[in-house]
Amino acid sequence: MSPPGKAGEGSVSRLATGGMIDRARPVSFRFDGKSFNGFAGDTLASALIANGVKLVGRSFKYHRPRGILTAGSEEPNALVELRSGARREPNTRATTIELFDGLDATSQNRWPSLAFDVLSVNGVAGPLIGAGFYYKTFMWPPAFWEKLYEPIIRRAAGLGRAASAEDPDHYEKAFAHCDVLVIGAGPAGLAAALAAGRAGVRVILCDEDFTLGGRLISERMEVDGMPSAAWAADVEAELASMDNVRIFKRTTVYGIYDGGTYGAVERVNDHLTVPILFQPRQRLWRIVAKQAILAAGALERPLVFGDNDRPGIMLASAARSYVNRFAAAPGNRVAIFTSSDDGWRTAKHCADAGIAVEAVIDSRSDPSRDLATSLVGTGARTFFGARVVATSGMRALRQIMVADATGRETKIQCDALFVSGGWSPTLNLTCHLGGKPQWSEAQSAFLPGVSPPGITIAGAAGGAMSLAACLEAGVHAGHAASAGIAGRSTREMLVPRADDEPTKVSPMWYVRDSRGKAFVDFQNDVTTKDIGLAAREGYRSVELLKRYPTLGMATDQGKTANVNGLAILAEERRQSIETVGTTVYRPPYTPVAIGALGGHHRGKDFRPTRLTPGHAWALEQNAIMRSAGAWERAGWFLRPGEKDWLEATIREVKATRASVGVCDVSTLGKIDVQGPDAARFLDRVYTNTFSTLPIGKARYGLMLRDDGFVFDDGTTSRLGAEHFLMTTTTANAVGVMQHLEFYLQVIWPDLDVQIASVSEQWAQFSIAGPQSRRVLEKVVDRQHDISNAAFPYMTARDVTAMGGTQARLFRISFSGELAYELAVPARDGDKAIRALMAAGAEFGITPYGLEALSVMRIEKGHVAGSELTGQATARDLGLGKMMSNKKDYIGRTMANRPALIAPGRLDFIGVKAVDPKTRLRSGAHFIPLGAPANIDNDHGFVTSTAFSPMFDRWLGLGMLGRGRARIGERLRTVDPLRGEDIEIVVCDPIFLDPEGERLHG
Amino acid sequence: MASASITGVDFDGHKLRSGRFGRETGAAGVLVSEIDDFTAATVIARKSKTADVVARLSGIVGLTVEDLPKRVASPELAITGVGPGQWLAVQRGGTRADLVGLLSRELSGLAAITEQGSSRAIFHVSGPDARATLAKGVPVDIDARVFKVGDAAQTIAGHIGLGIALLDASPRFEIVSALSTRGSLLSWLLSSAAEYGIEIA
Repeated sequence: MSPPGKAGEGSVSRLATGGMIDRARPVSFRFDGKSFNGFAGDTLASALIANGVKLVGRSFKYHRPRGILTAGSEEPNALVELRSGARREPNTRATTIELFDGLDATSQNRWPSLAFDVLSVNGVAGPLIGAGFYYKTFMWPPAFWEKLYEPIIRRAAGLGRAASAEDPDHYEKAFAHCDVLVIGAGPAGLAAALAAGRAGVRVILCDEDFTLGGRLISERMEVDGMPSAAWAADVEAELASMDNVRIFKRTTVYGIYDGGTYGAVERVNDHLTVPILFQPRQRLWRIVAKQAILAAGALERPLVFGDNDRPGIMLASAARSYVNRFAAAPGNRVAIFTSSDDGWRTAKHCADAGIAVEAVIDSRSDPSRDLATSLVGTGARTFFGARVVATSGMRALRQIMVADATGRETKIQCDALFVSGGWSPTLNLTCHLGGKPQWSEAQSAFLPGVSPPGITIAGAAGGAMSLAACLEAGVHAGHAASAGIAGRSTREMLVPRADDEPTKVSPMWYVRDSRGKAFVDFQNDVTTKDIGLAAREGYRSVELLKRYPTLGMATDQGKTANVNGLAILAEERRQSIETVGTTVYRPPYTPVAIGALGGHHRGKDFRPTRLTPGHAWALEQNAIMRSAGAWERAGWFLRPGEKDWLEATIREVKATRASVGVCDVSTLGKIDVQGPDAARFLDRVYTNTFSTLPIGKARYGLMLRDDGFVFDDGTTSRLGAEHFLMTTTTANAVGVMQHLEFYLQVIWPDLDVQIASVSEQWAQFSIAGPQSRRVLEKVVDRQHDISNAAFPYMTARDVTAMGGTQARLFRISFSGELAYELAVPARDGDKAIRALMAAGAEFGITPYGLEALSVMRIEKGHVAGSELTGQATARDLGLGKMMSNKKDYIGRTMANRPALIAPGRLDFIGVKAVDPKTRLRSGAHFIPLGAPANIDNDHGFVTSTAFSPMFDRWLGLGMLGRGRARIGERLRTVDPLRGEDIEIVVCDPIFLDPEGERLHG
Repeated sequence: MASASITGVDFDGHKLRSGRFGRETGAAGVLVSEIDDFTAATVIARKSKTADVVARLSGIVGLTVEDLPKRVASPELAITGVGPGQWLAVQRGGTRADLVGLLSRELSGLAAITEQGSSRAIFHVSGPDARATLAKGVPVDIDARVFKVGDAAQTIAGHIGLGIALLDASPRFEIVSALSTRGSLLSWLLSSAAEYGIEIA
């Protein structure tokens, strides 16, 4: 480290002694490319202050020079880009960044440099970008928006730059449970955690800082006769020794949700350049607590006067934090401007630290004169009933002008001005479940209204502003929260002793006779003028007042601005603050990185993937995988020399129809249905009858929703008198299971039926094509006769295969070919597909994927997901014959609603292009020949298309108004997206083998 | 897209390598072993037969089975409550015919038996950091004070449905999940355990 006073901005402002920094552990860091030194225990802000750096950023709209206002997460000004490259993080608050070796931060919102910023002329152009400038200045002409206004605003008004590369770090989520959650580890929080911890209940204590203590470590007070910071350390040690207490440092509880659920983000490795190997950068906690104690403290308010934003103007409490906790002097010659007793404490602490206190300006004419006695002998001038009316200094404060009660002005030279406008309880979390803050005239602050359920508010967050009051509230809250918890100890702790320091405040919301822009919201550059303008333009509701001039928005959400803004609005409208009211707060309390909300779930882990038992085999076969819901399914199997999916699909279809193909259909939903009432149950679930189905047979079934529309379809087989196996579409596997559970549990609890999902239990392969039986004869064990006579179409039986492996064989077909589905336990699936391939080798067996499956079902005119959209009735789909007249079933009554049986509904039909070479497009609309392609002439749409190798042309399926009566009619399909307009002919949807000869072969 | 798994291990195609992953120093905080020599079946009581099923199941396993989310186990057979009147029976070793045959005989007319031996993947997760690892996905409270030996729950981790039970206080957890999501589950488990070091048997 360079010696004091040497080499420009060396550690000129570091105090020689004191503070909670570790002088034995120097840390080097860079800001705007320049190297500096600090110590372990510093924040970036305290290290910059210790190095005499005042100018830290430029403001949002006017590009005014800005410094450090606070010492906490409420900071509106000192936003920097932290780290570089893929780890660059914009809008990071210098006041919360724990200093680490190698830290690299850059100021933002300036160009070309922080000290010389071209856009600071915005300050001159100010009238153009006043309140509502978003909505007014840049509106006309509209054509200018995209090319001119938006790019300029983005350059000028943007905050930091996001990293353009993918975040290399890992984030995760975790759950925690406790009896008592304590939010905030200041005096009230520590006392509450200790009381609850000693009672033996499960406690979680969270604090956003890296050191526990809150104001205890920023002040010089005494608790139980020891320095407050030492008391905090003692309490932390005791809590850490308890196995019923967990301490989460660097953890912000950012939201309260229903049922005692709290969201918190832990910055596990943000204080390191690169996270420790295998550790996450951040961890998002969902904490479930029986009781919570909100001990989030309070935030000091700045004062509003002309040019109150110059670097060097800082909250008085923040100045104490820098002096006491970080041994960093925010100024060499300082003044204090206060409307409360609290400001005097800052003056005393500065004087004690050897900092020259030039003046204390108290806006009150009659505060206790005792306050001034502590400054006797320091040379500080004191002003009562006075205010700061102007400030000067280009990039840092140099001078202030003080007007006394008589209006006489006095110049005071100073490089720092500490302001204190009273304290606002940090009640943000109390609003998350709908709570509304209440104005307290006595305390000049909003206090929490009704506490959310299960939450006790303790200490300054509830308006108890003195140390003694905070400790007492904390202990009582800790005891009360533990009281209802089983197994607690009844031993109660005593309230720690502390003094009731003076905390009086008489707010002065705005120095009206001051000169220059008076900033209310530093982050959004909202001035008193903007609020006045909003009021004059008629924005009366506080909700609108907030949004119109952008008060209380962006990363700090107006933590230092809201109350001042409301108070000034109230003055403008000559109403009380209580009448004007307040906006409320939503989660999150401070910004939460999207990465933390995503956690583990990114890239391949974005969502769970389901793999079929044939997955590894398919990959060996060069399957191109497609996502089908959570499942990975083979789309097609690309062979050497094939250029695309179409070529592969044509080969797969041709080979299947000519000889034999095999497809993994394990993803179908499968539900085991058992019980004495199983057959009755299925009769009610399906439109058609299952009670008549013989054992060993399968039947195609159709299900409606209770509103009468088609829900799902599939084949269901009877395995025994009281035992069925239902199959569902892949997409509806879960939905059908829920549907059946609902009806069994809620509507028909009298039925004795048991259902279990067996989708995972069975691997299932479709073997289709004229040679399929010959392949299966080699795989199914010899004792099972699967000849056409013994095993006709729609047979379903238990068999064994591959020499004794349990299996089920179904003679069912989706392709229209002679086809079977062979099911084996999933763990035998890989073995089964390899056995089928080996047995089929002599027939040239061909694996086929989803595309070929789809082509073959379109050739056969089977409906699938594209048609089962939830908007089609059974009649629309040509399945009206499946609706039994002899029994009741789900959806029967509603399916006969007038609108569902009205003529003119869309019917399921087939489509061919008149020109056989023309490609059809799904989604294209049917338009009559010669008619304009508009909504009035829209007769329906194409649902599915495929190139049919069997017909050597594109085929389509679609839904057409009165379609069944229009077979043979010529129409157009119009696809405005692709600019296509094709003449087509309407035909029967079953293109291939309408008599079903292939099936029965 | 970069590999999302913090350990860089890819689970495409069900492959699971044994060995040490994640943090390389010190003893592994988490030990995972897969149970694959089992057969299983769901037992769902017929209407109004739950008490009879409880009694028969207790007789079969030689321990008190309850209609609760609890797991009881003899050396060969474990019975876990997975829903009202529903249990999952898992038999180590043995064959499908043994388990389904036994249950069908003993519970004839009292319960529906559905074979599930191929539908589940079963893992044992143990070690000093097992709880911290599982808490990164399992939303139920698995703290030792609350989730005791023999307790079970049907829950999720990382959007994957699973059953969890505490086998012993060491602690050793059993996780029962769907076979198809085995790869995704392991990816989550490895990512979550990486900071503690994970040993896969």
